[in-house]
Amino acid sequence: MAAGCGVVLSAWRGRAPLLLTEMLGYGWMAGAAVISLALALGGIFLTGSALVVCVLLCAGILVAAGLRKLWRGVKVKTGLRNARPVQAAAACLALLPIAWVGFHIFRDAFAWDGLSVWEFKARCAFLSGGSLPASFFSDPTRVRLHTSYPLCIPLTQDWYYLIFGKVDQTALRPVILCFFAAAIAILWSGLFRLTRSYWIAGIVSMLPLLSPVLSGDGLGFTQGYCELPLAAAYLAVVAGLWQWQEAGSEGAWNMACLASGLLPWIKQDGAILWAGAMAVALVAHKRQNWKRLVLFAAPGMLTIVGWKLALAVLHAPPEDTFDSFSLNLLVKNLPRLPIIVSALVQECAWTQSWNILWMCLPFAFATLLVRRGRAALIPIAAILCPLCLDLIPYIFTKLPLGFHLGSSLDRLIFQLAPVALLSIGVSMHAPCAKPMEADLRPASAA
Amino acid sequence: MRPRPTFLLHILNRTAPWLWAVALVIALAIRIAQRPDAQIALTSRSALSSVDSVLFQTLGQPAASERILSWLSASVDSRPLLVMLAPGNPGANQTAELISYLAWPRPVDLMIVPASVKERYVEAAQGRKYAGVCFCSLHVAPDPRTGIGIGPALTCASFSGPRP
Repeated sequence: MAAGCGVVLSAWRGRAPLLLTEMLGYGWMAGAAVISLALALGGIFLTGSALVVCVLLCAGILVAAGLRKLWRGVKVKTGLRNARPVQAAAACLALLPIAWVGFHIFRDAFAWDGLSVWEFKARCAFLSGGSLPASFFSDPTRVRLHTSYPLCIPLTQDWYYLIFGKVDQTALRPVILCFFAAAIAILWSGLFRLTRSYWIAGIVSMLPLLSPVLSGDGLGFTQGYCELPLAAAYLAVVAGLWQWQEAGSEGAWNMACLASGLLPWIKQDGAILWAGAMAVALVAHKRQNWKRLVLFAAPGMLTIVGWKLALAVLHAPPEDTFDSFSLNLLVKNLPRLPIIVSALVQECAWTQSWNILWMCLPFAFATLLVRRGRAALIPIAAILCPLCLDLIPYIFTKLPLGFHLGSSLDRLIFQLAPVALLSIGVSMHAPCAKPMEADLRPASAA
Repeated sequence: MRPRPTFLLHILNRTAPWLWAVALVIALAIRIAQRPDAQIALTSRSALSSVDSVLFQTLGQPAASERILSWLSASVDSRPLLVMLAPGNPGANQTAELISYLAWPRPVDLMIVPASVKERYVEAAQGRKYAGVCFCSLHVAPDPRTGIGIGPALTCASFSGPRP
């Protein structure tokens, strides 16, 4: 967390102060990225205590860089200084879902993919001295456990094991809770910056409680699945780009850039979300400066290409889930499309999982279009682009279509749910005319 | 740039708060009426608490990871392990994956075999490239609440063969 906050403070630009919730939310995710990357790269040359010391040194340097930035005048504010007690209480409603999910996380066991795909890698890494050996990736008998999936979450869990000095699955529970808290913190900050209403920020941050899937009752993010970190990172990208476009906050652009690089490092599906993030950046950017857009694409592109190269060097056997793309196959499998779209509509309308979240979204989009004009294209692109891209792999799946849809479609939709909540929240309020800094100025100066 | 106020915007500003309030009430009512999905509850405080909890739900035996680990470590033979599982049973599938989890770094081959012919496969596997075999079958009195069979349905055996 400290290393992540160091990264966030170092990357923050502009005069606008950083919200404490932003620093903690983005900081947790940046910390997971930095530590997992340091373990993955350091593990090539080092094992055991030497690796831990090396990673601690990296973290220490980042903390020092963050402190230096604080010393040079980056302001961190809670955003509650000018709030009346009732408004502060409303803002604190965001803590309720964190408490609820915390209770669930310590009640449920890791299971299914959470155990045999993600935590499995963490245990293997710990038993191998801190990082995964090359033989792990080339083992043909464990391809079904998705050994070629990226390592952000497993190596973050591995870091816990290294710090505790033993494999202890109960000790990993807070990792999931921290990702959930980070998602809520970024949602709260995004809503507050875009609406400047404590009420909307508090109430909408509490809405995950109304959906079983988002509050840990279903789907399995409390069971260790990676959809929650992916959803949190995608929310960070969209919230950052939206703030940059509406409020002109330079720091928010940098945060979105960092989070977009994290997406493909969490899971391979992250590449689809990264493509969605690029579409959002294109909409937000309005083709002002191509250099900036290329720089935005760079972290994600580096992660995708780097991981592909690493797998090729490690001779990882390819996963046998999808046919390779060909025009003939596309034409042949095109009759699958109505089935896939029908399954998507049914899933979105399934109130047992999602309540009325997805049914409210079209109304939110319409409201945003009327109230905010072109800026409304950001959340619309953020939801529709990945949703359309998510459907393409099903056309080429080798698995029985019904089984594949039933076992993964809800998880793909989950990745977009926090952005849907952000859109709904922002649509509730008219655009703000005065700059953000005015709200964060000390009361005496206001 | 903010859009100019229009008739549509005026209507929206008047009605939207009420529409959102109604949506919130409906969502609250739906949530209250929902029953939570059954998750796998933590039933163990061991280091591998989640593995033990999942195996307890599928096999009905506490501290199963410890027993499987001791069985695995008893064999000095480092050849792969063969895990056979009965078809069409998610519980058996997860048990097989957890045996693969616990057996790491030993390679584990998974094979779906109907229970009726498993003896033939065990004979074929014995003395060949495998160090041992596990058979996961959970077709034992499924629990009507969870749909998962409960019973001592995991059988494991080590083969005595030439050391690699």
